[in-house]
Amino acid sequence: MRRLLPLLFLLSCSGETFDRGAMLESLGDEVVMANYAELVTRTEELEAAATAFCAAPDATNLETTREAFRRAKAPLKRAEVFAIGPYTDSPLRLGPEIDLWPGRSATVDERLAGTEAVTADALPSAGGYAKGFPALDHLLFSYELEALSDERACAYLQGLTQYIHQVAVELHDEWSPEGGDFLGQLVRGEGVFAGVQGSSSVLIEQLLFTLENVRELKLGKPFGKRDAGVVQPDALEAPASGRSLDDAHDAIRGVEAVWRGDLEGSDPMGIEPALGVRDWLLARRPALAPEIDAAFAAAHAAFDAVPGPLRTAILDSPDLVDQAYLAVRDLQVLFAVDLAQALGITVTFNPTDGD
Amino acid sequence: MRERLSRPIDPSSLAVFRILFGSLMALNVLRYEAEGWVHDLFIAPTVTFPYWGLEVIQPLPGWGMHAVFGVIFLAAVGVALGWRTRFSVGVFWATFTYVELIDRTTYLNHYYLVSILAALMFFMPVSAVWSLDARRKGSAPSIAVWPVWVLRSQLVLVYVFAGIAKVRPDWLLRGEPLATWLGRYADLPLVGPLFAEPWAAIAMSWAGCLFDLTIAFFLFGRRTRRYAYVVVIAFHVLTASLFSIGIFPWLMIAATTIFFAPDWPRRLLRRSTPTSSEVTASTRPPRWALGLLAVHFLVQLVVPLRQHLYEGPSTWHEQGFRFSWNVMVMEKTGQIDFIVRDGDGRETVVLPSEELTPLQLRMMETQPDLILAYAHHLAERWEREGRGPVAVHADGWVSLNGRRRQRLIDPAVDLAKAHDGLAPKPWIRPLGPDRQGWAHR
Repeated sequence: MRRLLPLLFLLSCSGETFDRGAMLESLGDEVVMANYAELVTRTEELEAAATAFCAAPDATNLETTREAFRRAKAPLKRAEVFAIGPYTDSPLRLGPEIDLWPGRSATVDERLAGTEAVTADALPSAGGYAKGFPALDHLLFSYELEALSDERACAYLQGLTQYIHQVAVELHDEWSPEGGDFLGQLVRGEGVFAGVQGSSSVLIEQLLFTLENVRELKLGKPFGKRDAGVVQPDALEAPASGRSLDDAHDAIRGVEAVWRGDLEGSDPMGIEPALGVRDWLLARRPALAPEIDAAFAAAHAAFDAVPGPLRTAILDSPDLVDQAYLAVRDLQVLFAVDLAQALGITVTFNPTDGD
Repeated sequence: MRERLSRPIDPSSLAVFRILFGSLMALNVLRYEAEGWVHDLFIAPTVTFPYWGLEVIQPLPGWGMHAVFGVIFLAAVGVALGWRTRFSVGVFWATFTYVELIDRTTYLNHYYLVSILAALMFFMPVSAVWSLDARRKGSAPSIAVWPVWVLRSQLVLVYVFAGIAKVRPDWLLRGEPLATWLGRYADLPLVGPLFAEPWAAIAMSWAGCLFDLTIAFFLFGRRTRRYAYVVVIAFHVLTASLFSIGIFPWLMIAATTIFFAPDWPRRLLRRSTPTSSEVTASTRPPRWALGLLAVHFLVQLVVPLRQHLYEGPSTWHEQGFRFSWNVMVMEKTGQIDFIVRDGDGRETVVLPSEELTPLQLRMMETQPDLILAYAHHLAERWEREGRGPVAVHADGWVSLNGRRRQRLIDPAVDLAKAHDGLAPKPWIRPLGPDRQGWAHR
């Protein structure tokens, strides 16, 4: 046995390996925490903009608030790819608090017309459709300046933005190593994750889930793909703000951030070595990585070619919407079939026995 | 022949086989309940994939499936204890087999083996000693040798066919799917880099194939048996630690004890061997039983071979794949869309993930007969909702054993009009060459 040990050591040193734990740690820092930090900042700006608008309701302040809304949604949609743990699991389940979509405009209208409290303190106990970004989408973009200047409307506006910021902070803190440290569970494969292999599988499953979600719910459903070609405007994610297409595109950007290992532009000099799923794939099957890079580029081009908003594009430019839909499908097939095979990920969601 | 099969032997090895089998099965039921799999596999699904011709077999509603698993558990305990053993084995076989026939997506080779072993045990004097029955009715000093040979023969078939199934280019030349699976452990300390080596997967593939093809024969040899059994334990413990294959390794470690001399437990426990060499009359194999056994083994020989009647690798088209001891020979990933086209040519994309459980989805995406069954289900659903008749097309991509993705199903074929059965399925696209040659980088 003593003679065999050096041989085993030599053999073990010659293989090509990839440290998935290091990748998860890098993704945690460069993507998850960086993105949630941006969400905290952007929602804080949104809250401040709403406060400023209510202090001086005019067209300029309204547009500033609307622009702050658009900017805040980008990190929220990018975060869909890691919508796990505190986002989905009880007792926190923060996702529906901030982003239960598609929204129900009637619920917002009823809340506004009613007498129930609309402050941030009251919103945690309110139904999911009365709060979060979808509710704000309707309130901020369906109502005109005069209506929004109303005291109760403004209170609701401030309540919504304040509560959204609170939830964003909570999401950040629950992931943060200094807070709930869900990130630590993911990186170390502890808690709900069955080892680093389990964490890695969940990560890939989230990529697949997000791509399917973008393709079928964000694009396909309103486009009528699910309903014999009959368009479904009610299924649009952000109908009033006209941000539905950008929401879908940002979700793709979130997938790409996990693929690449960093948020676009977060580290332009490449000072921090970032590891993503792409690096993992390079260690297993490098020939596939450029194909996925190209698929992302094609998807971006297809999205950029669609003249927004999606509400009108599904009627006026169906061919271009279809191209975007198919581009996401190409990405989905690449990830679900080739990438999962190359990484040896069995996408189970349910770890029953094999063979 | 009948006389040779009636040779008296010590019944204790068969008793140990029964005790281990019953205990493992009881533990397995507890595991299923603890993991929530009874709910996930048999209660949660709103759609099932029954076997062709056995559509009448459906899960029981509500708590019915928990009750069924409760019965399986009690029956397994009854088998282990040897309580009214034939009744217990019969109930175990009926309920266990019922569960296994509910949904093709839950098919596992080792559960097929469990059903077979239970069916064989029903006819055997497995409770002659060390059972409540023996305590009640008195122990039999000896039994005929035929049950031991029947069980050994069954295990030989399992191992040898599992070995034959590995004599494929994927397994022997490319080390797949082991290369893919072992790659998951590449970042383990010390042994991880070894697993990442392509030659390691090929070496382990050859070792696994040789093990399956030969181990049963080494277990037969008196001189090699002990060493072979150590190899059995090492092999199955290794597979249990690397792969999620449930009770299979433990079942095989337990079952292969039947290859030892029939009195091995008594010698191990240093209990005196029975003095009488008389064989209880009821343990002699009746002629009809011999006939039944002959039919059983003929079926066991023919069924695994049927996959070779179809063109192309069965790991791709999966025709004749089940019940053929194709153990751990493939890794498939897939993605499929169903397009339902109504009479006016309007198309609806259906995502099976909205209707199927994750396990059903994973199985259906890569198995053509399940894809066909789901297409039929969609056609019936549209018809039932007054939106039919419709055409159903499948747009599915599959990657097999490290290959680049290929289309599995001809998307031009209306699957609503295609039929299931034993005939070759022309709408399954043949496996083409790995056109970019990047199955291994």
